Amino acid sequence: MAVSLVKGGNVSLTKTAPGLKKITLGLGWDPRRTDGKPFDLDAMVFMVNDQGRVRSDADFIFFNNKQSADGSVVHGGDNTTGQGEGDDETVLIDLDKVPADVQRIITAVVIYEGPERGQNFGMVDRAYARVLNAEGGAELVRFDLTEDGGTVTAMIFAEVYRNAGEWKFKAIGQGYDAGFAALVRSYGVNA
Amino acid sequence: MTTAALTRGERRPLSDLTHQTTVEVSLDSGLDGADVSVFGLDAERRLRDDRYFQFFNQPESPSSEVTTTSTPNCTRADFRVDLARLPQEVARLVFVVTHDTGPFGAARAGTWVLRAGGQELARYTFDGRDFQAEQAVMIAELYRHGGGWRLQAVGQGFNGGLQALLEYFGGEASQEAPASPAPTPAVPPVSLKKQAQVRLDKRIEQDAPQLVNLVKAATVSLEKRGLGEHTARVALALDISGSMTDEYRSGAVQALVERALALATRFDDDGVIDVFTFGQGAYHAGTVDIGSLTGYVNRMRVRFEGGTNYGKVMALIRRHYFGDAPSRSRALSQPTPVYVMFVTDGATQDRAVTEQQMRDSAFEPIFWKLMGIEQGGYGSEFQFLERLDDLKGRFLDNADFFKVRAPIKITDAELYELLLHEYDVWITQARAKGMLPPQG
Repeated sequence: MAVSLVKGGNVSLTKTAPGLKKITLGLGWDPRRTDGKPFDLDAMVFMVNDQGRVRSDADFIFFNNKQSADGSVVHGGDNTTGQGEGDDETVLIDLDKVPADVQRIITAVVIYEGPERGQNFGMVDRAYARVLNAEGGAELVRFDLTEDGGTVTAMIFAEVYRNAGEWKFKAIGQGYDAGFAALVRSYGVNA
Repeated sequence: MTTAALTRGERRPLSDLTHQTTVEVSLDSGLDGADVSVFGLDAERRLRDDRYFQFFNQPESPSSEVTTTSTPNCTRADFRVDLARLPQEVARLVFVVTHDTGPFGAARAGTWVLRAGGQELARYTFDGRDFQAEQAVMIAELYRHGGGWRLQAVGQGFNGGLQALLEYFGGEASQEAPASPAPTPAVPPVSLKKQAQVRLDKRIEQDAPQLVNLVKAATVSLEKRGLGEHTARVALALDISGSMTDEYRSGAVQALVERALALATRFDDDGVIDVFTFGQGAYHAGTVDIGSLTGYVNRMRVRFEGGTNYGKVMALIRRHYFGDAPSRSRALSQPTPVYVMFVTDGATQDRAVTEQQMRDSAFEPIFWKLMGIEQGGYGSEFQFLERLDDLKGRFLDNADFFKVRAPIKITDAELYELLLHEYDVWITQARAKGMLPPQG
C-alpha cells in the first residue's frame, strides 16, 4: 500500500522498499475535456548539489535534453495532450548511478506558453506525482495536488533527495509565480 | 472590503469574502445574442436534476433557491442564489454562456460579478483572447468544499455549444445513458430545440432562401406568445375542390405552403410538414420539407374534385397522428401537439360528420386552424366554418377560423398573427387537462 503524502510531507524510499535501485517518477493530471487553446504541460528535472544549484546545464533534464550525462536520469518524453494510459510523464531514475555530489532531484511541471495562452494550474484537474519501484512497478508513494492549483504556470511537484544515506521523497506542490524561465534560472541553469 | 479580482483558474473560499448565504451574480457574456444560464451539478459534475438548470425556459429552481432574469439571447443576466437552502446534492453551480452561432473568440470584455447584499465581492473579467471557437463557456463556479462554498473563475468551454456542455454534464440530452439510474424526478428533458433550429436555419439559407424572412416573421409571432421554444407537428390540409383551381395556378397555394413551412421550421425539429388534400375524397399527399419546397405545388399534380368533405380529411388526419379516429369521451395524452392548417374556399357537404370530428378530436392534442380563402361571390359560404370555431359541446375549444380575401395579399406578420391566434390559449388548456406534458 503506497504512502499518500500531503503537501510538505516526506517519506523514506529506502525504508519503504529496502534494496530499491531504480525508481520511476510518474506525473499526471486529468486530460482536459474542454476545447480552446491547447494545453501543453511539460515535466522537467533539476539535479542539484547541496547548494541547490545544477552542476552544469546538463543537469537540467527537459524536453530538449532528455537524459543526464551519466544516464542516471532519463526523461520519458513529452505527452502534449495528457491523454493516454497511466502517467502523463515519467522520469526514470537509477539511484545507484546518481553522482554523489547530486543532493536532490527536483521535478517540476510547467504549462508551456501558459502566460501567452492565458493558462495556469488552476485550470488543471487532479494533478499528482508518485514514485514507483521501477523493478516490478509497485507504487511507493503518492502526492495529489488537488486544490493546490493556483494561477501559476510553473509548479515544483516533488523532490527525491539524499538524507543520512537514505533516499527520501518530499511532496512540495509549490507554485512558482515567475514562470518557466525564472524557475530554470533559479537553479543556476543558463537559460 | 475591496473586490477580489479573479484570474482565470483562481479559487477562493467564499467565507473570505462574505458570511452571507444569499448571493447575487451578474454575468455579462461579452457576446451579443448569447444565452446565459447556470447549472446545478452534483459532486461528480453531473446534472442529476434538470430542475436545477436555470435558463430562459426555466428561470426558477423548485424552491426558488436559484433564480435568473435570463431570456433568450439576452447577452447578460442576473442570478440570485440562496446557498443555504440548496439541496445537499447540488454541489456545484456552474455559470455558463452559450451562443448559437458565434465563437467566444469574438467576444468583447465580459464580466462575472459576485455580490452579497448589493456589495460587490468578486469580479472575473474575460474576453475573446481567452477563447477560440468555443460556443459554450463555463465562466465561473460556486462549489461546496470542506463544509463551505468556494468560487472559481473557470473560463473554459466547448466548440460544440450547449449540446457539448450538456454532454459534459451528463444531462438528458446526452447520447450516453447515465451509468446508474438516478432518482430523477419526472421532468421533461432539457430543451435543445434552439440547437436543432440552428441546424435547420443553415439548411434554409442553403436550400430555401425565400424562407429566411418568413421564418423571422414567424419567430416574432411565436415569441410574443411564449411559444419561442414550442414543439409541434405541423399538418397542412388543402382543399382541392374545383373552385380552388385559380389559387393553385396563381401560386397562392405554393405561397401558403411556404408560409406554413416557415412556421413548421420553428415548431418542428425536422422541419417537415405532412400534407393532406381534400375534395370529394381525402388523401395523404406526402410531406414537404426545406429540400422539396421549391416547386412543390406544381409537382403535386392536383386533380381537382367536384365536392368537399371536411369530415373525411379530419378523420384521416386523426388516424395519421393518433392511429385511429374514434368517438371519444376522455382526454388523450401525447407528448407533442399537432397543429393543422386547414385551407379551404368553401363549404362542406358533410356538416354533421365534421361537427362530430371536431367534438371527438377536442379530446386529442390537435388544434385546427381553419383558414377561409374568400373568393368573389362565395363570402357567405364561411358561416359553417365560423360556427365550427364556436361549436358548442366540445371538451376544449380546439379550433379557430379566419378568412382572407383572394388573391391573398396580407403581410407575413399579419398571417402569422392570424395563424397563431388562440393556439397559445389552447396549448395552456390542453396542458391543464393533461393532454400535453407540463411546460418544460
